[in-house]
Amino acid sequence: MNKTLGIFGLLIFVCLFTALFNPAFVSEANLFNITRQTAQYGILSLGVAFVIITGGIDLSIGSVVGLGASLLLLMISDWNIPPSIAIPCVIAVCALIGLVHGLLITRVNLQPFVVTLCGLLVYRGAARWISDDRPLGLGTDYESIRLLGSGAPFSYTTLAIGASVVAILFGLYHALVLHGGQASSEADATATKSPKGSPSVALLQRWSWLLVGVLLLAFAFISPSSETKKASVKSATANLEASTDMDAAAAKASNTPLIKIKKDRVKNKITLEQRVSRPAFILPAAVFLPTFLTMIVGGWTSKRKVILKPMIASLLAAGFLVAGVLFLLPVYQSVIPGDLFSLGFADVSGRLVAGLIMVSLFAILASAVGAAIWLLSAAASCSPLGKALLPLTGFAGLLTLLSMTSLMSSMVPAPMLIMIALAVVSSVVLNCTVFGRYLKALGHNEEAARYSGINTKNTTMLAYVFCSTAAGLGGVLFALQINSVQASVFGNFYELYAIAAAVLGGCSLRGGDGNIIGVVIGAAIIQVLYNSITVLRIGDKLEFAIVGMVILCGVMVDEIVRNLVAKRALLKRDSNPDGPPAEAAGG
Amino acid sequence: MTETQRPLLEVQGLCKQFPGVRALHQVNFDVMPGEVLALVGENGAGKSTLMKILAGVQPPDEGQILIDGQPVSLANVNQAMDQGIALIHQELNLAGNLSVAANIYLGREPKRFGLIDSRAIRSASAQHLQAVGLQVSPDTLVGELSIGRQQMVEIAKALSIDTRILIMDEPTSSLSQGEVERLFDVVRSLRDRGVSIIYISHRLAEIEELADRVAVLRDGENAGLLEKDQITHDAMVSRMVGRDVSRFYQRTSTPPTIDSDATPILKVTDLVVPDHPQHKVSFEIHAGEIVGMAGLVGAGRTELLRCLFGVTPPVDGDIQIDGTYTPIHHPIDAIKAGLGLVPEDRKEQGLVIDFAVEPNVSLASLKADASLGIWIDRQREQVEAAEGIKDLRIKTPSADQIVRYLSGGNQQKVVLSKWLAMNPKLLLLDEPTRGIDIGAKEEIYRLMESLAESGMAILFVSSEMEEVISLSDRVLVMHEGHLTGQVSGGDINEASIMNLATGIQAVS
Repeated sequence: MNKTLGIFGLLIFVCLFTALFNPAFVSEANLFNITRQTAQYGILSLGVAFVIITGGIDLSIGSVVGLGASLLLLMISDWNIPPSIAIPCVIAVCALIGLVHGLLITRVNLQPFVVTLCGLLVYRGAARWISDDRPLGLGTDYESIRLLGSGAPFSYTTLAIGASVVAILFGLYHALVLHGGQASSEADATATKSPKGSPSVALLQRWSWLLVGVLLLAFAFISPSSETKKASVKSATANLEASTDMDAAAAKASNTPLIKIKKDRVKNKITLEQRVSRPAFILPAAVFLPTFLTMIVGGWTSKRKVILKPMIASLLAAGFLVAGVLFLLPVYQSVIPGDLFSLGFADVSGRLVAGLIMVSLFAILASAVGAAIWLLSAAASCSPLGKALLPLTGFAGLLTLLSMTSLMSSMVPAPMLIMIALAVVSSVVLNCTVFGRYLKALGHNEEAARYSGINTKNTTMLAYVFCSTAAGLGGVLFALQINSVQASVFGNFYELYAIAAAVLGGCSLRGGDGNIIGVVIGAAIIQVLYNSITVLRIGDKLEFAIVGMVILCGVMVDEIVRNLVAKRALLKRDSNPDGPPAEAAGG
Repeated sequence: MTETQRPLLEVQGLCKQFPGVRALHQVNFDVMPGEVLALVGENGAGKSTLMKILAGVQPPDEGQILIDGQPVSLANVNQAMDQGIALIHQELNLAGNLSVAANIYLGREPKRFGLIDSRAIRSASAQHLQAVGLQVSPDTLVGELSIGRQQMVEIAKALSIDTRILIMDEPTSSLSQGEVERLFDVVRSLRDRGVSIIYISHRLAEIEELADRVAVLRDGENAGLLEKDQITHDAMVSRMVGRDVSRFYQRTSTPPTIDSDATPILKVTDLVVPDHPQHKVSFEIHAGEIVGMAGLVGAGRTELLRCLFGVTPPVDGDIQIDGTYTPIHHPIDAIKAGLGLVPEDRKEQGLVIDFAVEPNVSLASLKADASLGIWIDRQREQVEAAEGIKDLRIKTPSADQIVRYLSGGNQQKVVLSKWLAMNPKLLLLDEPTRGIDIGAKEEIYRLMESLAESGMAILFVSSEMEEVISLSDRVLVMHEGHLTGQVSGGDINEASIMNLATGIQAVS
């Protein structure tokens, strides 16, 4: 769970940084694009996450996407098969591919890497062969079915209302069923463990999920959805047009000369002030500030030592951040890269100044986000009140940030709905079913799983079937949205994005570990990174390098933290007189 | 060894503190050149910490280490090696895919024109192998050698770096009787050549046989030093635990009277184990019986259990469980028929070591308990784990603790509770007490007894003779894949078992 919070912090950081330098990042059109791409790639990542949990790998995803997309368009446009038959057929073919992978890996005992590497080549070739290397597309026909990939049925406000209803229902369930049962059965246990938990804190803990749900509901209603409702039809069609292009907004931003940014900024300043006066901003902020302060005060009074350091760090970072935004950012915006920039005593290259400012703000913002997370977790860990308030505070803070973007008035891309559904199903399968438990067990230790009576072969096989099926689904959505498929390149490298997102999201290639929310966040980080590289005009030559570095850093930090935790736990065990160490464990 | 002789290694006032506990406190001892100093103590007494400090793995907090009277710093493994200290860990550190010679010189290969000089390695290795009396070619792959022989390779490796102080941690834990004897011969010959040996073991009988002096540790402190003539089992044990204990575990229950006409829980007829296809094995086990399975390491006991459990399905033969013929192709079949196996290697086969206690306990019974065979029954799972922790007295902070961070004994109890949650008819245990401290061992013995009393049949493999003798109602003895015979009741003694185990007296 901590790991998920960590990469969520990374996501927020990348978004903040990009928005700071170019407010166009949080425009409706751009957010629509980012979320749509996140959904499309997220579907692939969810599939491969299952395979990675078994300790395997699937390199053929990109080719399966290409084959599925080609096959679909070919079936519909050339063979005149109705889409309602063609889509299930394509997905079934992909499922079959997964079954073949699974059989080869579990029955013939081939290595997953080898099998899917061959798959990568075979399906790419097959796609080119069946399409004869012609570009495929549906043109303007089949508009209704293309909406599956490119449609936008409603705005994020509606989605938020739906989510808040779910959260409220879960909150009720949590408070009345889960917590109610726990309170009675573990009454003696909790009494001995945490005697200082006062009844009001317990009450807060019990109802925290419900409070979160209510806050989200209120936020969704206050959000400027009404004003965009008229515009929603317009923006939906605009998005349709925009979405055929890879990144309309981003491309536009990259074409804008720098001087224009300055104007944008002036405009943005006004809108920022408007936003601050908006109820959608005031409400979460009004919840966030008092709860946050209560957490800090609660932590301060109970364990001053623990909270002192993160507090100083946060104050420092916040100071730097304010100074940076007030003084550095205007300088950045006044710099013209081609020209010289006068420092008063000397002239230096504008590009250099702009770069330096960007790097220093990067560092300041990174430490500010880090310090904030540190402060929150310290405040949550050192008092029961803080722990009880954490979900509400964190969520209110998140909504405060969201209210400064135009996400709520942006439309929900149709693939997002499909990805959410798939993520919910995956999450339930992974956490609540025997299959999911078996998957994790055999990922950690296949031999022990077999010794415990688990049919490891069939379980592994199903993971591959799921992966290829998800890739097929992704291929269908990509094809319907882009509506132009060249079999030789369509889907190239997609497997790497999918795997990278899963790994960034906490799936270990050693197997066993993985969680669904993390995978979705991982997919979002990669898409936001690509987008911000365009929006910030860093230049797409560096694209791969930056994405690679970020993933590397994320995985590295994760590994270092994991080792630290393990070391601490081992020390604790070795130093625990009650539990003698497994010093003479058999081998 | 005379009084005037200067000790080779002196340890003075060694202290080591871990967060929350004192691992070592003012520990003193010395090692004379050419002696075997045994280091004994219960698990957690500080032996492993002491050993790590001497081998340069961990630095001490206080105190000093003197070699030849000179204070030395052992900040890392290389410095310790330079001082001539070598540690042979119980879990051997050999690369199975490399040859014996390559392993001996791993990491410090002599070079010739920038390339590895394999001829020099081979001839030097042959010498060292001869010194430890190991008659294998230096070109043999280590993976093809038995554990006992691999141990000899480790010793040869230590000799090749001019080791003066050899620390051996539980060297005999996976050796057969004959291999132990051979190891002792090597240790004695090393001692005669002037190498000092610090010998750490749980097996006190071995220490009685081998040690010149015994240093006892208790709770991180010196708890006594025994000279050669004082070394007795009881003297060591009373210092280790600080009280007098009886020599070994005493059974409290009386062996059941088996009605030979009753249907046995397990009846095996002409079973052919894939690892030993030339032999057919037949035997039966009744309800309430504790049957021990003795034999030297490599006799095929583990393979037989694995075969019965379907891990390596039988080639031929019948298995009847509770009177019904049951084909077993996979552990799934065995579990369905009411079998449970506590495997030899609990970290690799018994546990998902990175899972918490709870999912480990429920792993085998998960599917049977699941509603519709799909949805995990969380409540049932919690209850099972809580019962396991309570009944078996698993020492864990909570059911959510990752099993990796439990001690060996508690890990083994987790494996046991996994099977007890299934309530099996027949429990197979392979070396159930290996690497477990005395307290936990006794708890496991008591558990086996009470399970048998409740009607469960128990078949256990053990290489510890005392364990087999004192616990079994009946002992099956194997020799090289062949069931050479069985002894029961009053006939169970070391001599009768060893006769069968060495194949001296085979019962047809």
